[in-house]
Amino acid sequence: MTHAQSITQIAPDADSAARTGPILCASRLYKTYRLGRVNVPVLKGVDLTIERGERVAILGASGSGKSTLLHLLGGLDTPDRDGGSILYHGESLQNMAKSAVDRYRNRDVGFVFQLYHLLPELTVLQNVILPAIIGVGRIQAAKQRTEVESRAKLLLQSFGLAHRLKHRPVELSGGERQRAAIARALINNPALLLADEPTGNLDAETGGVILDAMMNLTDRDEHRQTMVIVTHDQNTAARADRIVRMKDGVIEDA
Amino acid sequence: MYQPLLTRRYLLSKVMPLLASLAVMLCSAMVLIVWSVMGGFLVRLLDQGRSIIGDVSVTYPIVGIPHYEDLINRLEAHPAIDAAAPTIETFGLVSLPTRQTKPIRIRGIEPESFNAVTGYNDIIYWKKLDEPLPGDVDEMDRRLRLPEGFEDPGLTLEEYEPSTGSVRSAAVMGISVGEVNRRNEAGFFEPLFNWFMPSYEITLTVLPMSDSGSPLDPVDRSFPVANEFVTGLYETDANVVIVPLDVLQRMLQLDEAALLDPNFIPGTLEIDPATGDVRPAQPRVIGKAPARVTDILIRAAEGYTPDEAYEETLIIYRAFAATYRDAPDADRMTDPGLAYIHTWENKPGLRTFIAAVKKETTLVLVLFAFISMTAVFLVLAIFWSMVSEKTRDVGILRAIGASKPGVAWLFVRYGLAIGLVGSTLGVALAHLIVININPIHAWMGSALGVQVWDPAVYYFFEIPNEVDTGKATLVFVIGVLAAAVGALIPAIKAANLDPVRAIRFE
Repeated sequence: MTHAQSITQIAPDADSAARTGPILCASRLYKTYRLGRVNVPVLKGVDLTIERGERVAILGASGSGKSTLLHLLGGLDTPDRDGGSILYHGESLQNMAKSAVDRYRNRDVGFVFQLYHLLPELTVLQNVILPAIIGVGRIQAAKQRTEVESRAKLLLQSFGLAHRLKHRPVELSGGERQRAAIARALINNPALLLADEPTGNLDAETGGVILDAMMNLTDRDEHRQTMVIVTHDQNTAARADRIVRMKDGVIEDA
Repeated sequence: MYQPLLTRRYLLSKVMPLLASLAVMLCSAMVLIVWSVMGGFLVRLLDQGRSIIGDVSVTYPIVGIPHYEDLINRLEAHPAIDAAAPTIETFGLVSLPTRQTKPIRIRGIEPESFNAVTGYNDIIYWKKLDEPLPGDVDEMDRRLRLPEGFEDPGLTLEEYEPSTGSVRSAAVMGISVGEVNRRNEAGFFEPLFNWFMPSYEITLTVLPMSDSGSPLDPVDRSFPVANEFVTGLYETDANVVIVPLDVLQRMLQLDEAALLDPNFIPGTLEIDPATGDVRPAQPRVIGKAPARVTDILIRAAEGYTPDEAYEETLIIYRAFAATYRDAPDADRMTDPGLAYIHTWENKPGLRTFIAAVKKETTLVLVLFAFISMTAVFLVLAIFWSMVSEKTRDVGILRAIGASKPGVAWLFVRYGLAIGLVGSTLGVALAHLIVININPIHAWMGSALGVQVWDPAVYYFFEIPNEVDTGKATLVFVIGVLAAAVGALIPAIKAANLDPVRAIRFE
C-alpha cells in the first residue's frame, strides 16, 4: 500500500466526491485596497471557473493580483461590496455565515504559503495536526487525537519527515518546512489546495521535489484534489492542467 | 480545541508571560499581605478587647454602683449571661522600684469572678514553663526555671510573707508597666538588669472622692508585686495594674460604711451623757452605705451574642434600679447614647478606635487594590505587545480555519493561564511572608536597622501572622480575573486582525 493510498483510506472526502459541476466559480471579482488616502484597485473584474479535480496555475508578475485572487478564493478575504461573487459548489461564499466561512477554510481548503507559515512554538507534528483540531470540541478532539496523529504521521512520512516529528520549524531546512506546511494543508483532506508561490523560496531542485510531492499526494484518480497554484515561474505553471495569466488585476489568458 | 495546546506552548516559550505572571504574583502577594496584616490587626484588637472587658459592661465611674452583688445575682440568673464580675477601674499613680512614678490605670478585681468573665488566669505571665519556646534554642526563658506554683500569688492577689507569717494583698502589673521587660526575638520577655518585678514592691496612689464628687486626700499603699500579666494589647500591658477589689474599695472609700445623718452640721456641740462635759457632736448613724464598684463585666452565655446579652442586661438593670433608690438612675444608665451599659465593641473610646481601624483597613485595602490595578494594565501592555508579536500566528490560524471568537478565546485563555500561575505564586508567596513576618521583621531590625512595627503604636507586640483562607481565595480569584481582563482588549484586537495583512506581517 502506498502512502497516498493509506491517506485516502484514512480520510476520504465523500461529500466533495458526490458533487458535480465546477468546484469554484468566480465572476466579476473586484478588490480594492486602501493605502493611506489612496485606493489601489488590485482586482478589476476577474472571472474564473475551476472544475473539480482541475489543476490551475495562476501566472503573473508581482502585483498582478494573483495572490489577492487566491485569498478571495480561499475565503481569507472578501471582494469589494458589489464586487462580484465566488461560488463554491454553487454556494456563494459572501452569503455564508462567518462560521461557515471559517469551516470552509478549515475543512474544504488547504493553504500553502511561500513563507511556509508554520507556528514557531509548535513541533512539526503539532503544526500538522492543528487544522484537524480547530473547530472541534475538547471531547471530540481527545477522541480523534490518535487518529489525527496517525494521519499526520503518515503524511509527514510520505514527505520524508518521519524523523522530524518533534522538531521545531526553526530546526528545519526551507524544503522541509514547506513539506510540513503542505502536510498541514492536506491533513483535513480538503477538496481545494491553494498554494501561493509554494516553491518561491526554494532552490530549483528542492522546488521540483516539493511540486512532485504535492502532485503525487493530490493525484488520486478517484479523488483528485483541485489545486490552484499561484506562481510567477513558468516551469511550475507548466505542471498544471491549465494556466491562467494575470496582469494588472485582470485575467489576460485563461 | 487548539487553544490549550497553543496556550501551553506560548506560556513556556517566552520571557513575556513570565514577566506578566511575575506582575500578577507581586500584586496578589502585596494585597494579601496587607489585608492579612491589617485585617489580622483588627481581629486581634477585637479579640483582645473582648478578653479584657468581657462581652458587656455596666459602668458608673467614680461614684460606683451600690448593691452590685444583687445586680450580679440577677444577671447570672439569666440564661443569656454566663458570668458577671464586679470591678473598679480608676486612675492613679504607681511608684516603681526603679524610682519612677507614672500615671496608671488601677483595676480592682475579685480573681475568681474576673477569671470567669475574662480568662484572667491565662494572662498571668510568670508561671512555670515545661518546654522552651520554639525559638528559644539556648533555653534562656526565665519561666523554665521558675518553681511550680509560682503564679499562685498572682492568681489570688495574695502573697504569703514567711517572715511575719501573714498574708498581704498583692498587685499584678502589666508586663510593660515597669518598662524593665524586653521582649526578645524568640517571643519571651526577659527582665533587664535583673529587674524581676515579682521580687519588688510598688506603691499605688489613688484619689478618693466624696459623696458630693469633690476629691479627698490622696491615699497610697504599698503592694508586693505577685506577678505580671500579658494580654498582648500593648496599651493595656503598659498602663494597667491589678489589685484586689476590696483593697481598692477601701482606698477609694467605696467599701461598705456607716451612713451618717445628712442633716448633721459639722461644729455642732453636744453634752456627753456619761461625763456631762460639752464635746463636739458626732454625726448620727442612720444606716449602712453599701459597698460600690464602678464596673460590672458580663460574659454572654454560650449561644448568645454580646448584643443579646446587652439587651437582657438593660432589662435586668431597669428592674434592679426600681428596687434600689440609691442605684444610678435607670433611664440614664440604659440610654444607649450615654453608654453606661455597652457591649465591648461600643465601649467609649474603643468604639471610635475600632471604627477608625476598620475604616483604615478598608482604605488601605482600596488603595492597594487600586495600585494592584497596575497588574491589569501590565498584563494589558504585555499582551498588547504579545499580540503584535503573534500577528502572523493569528493570520495563520485564521487561514487554517480558526474563528474570530476562537482567536480571542486563545488570548483570554492565555491571560487566564498567566493569572492562574501568577495568583498561585502570589498567594503562596504572601502566605510564606505573612506566617514568617515576625522573624522577617526581626531580621530587618537587626540587619537593616528598620523597625516598622512599634508595639507602642500598633498595640501588639507581634505583627498579625495569619492568612485567612477566604481572603486568600478572593485575592486568588481576583488575580486570575484581573489577568483575564487585562488580556481581553488585546484578545479582541487579535481577533479583529485582517488575516491577509496578518499573514504578510513581518
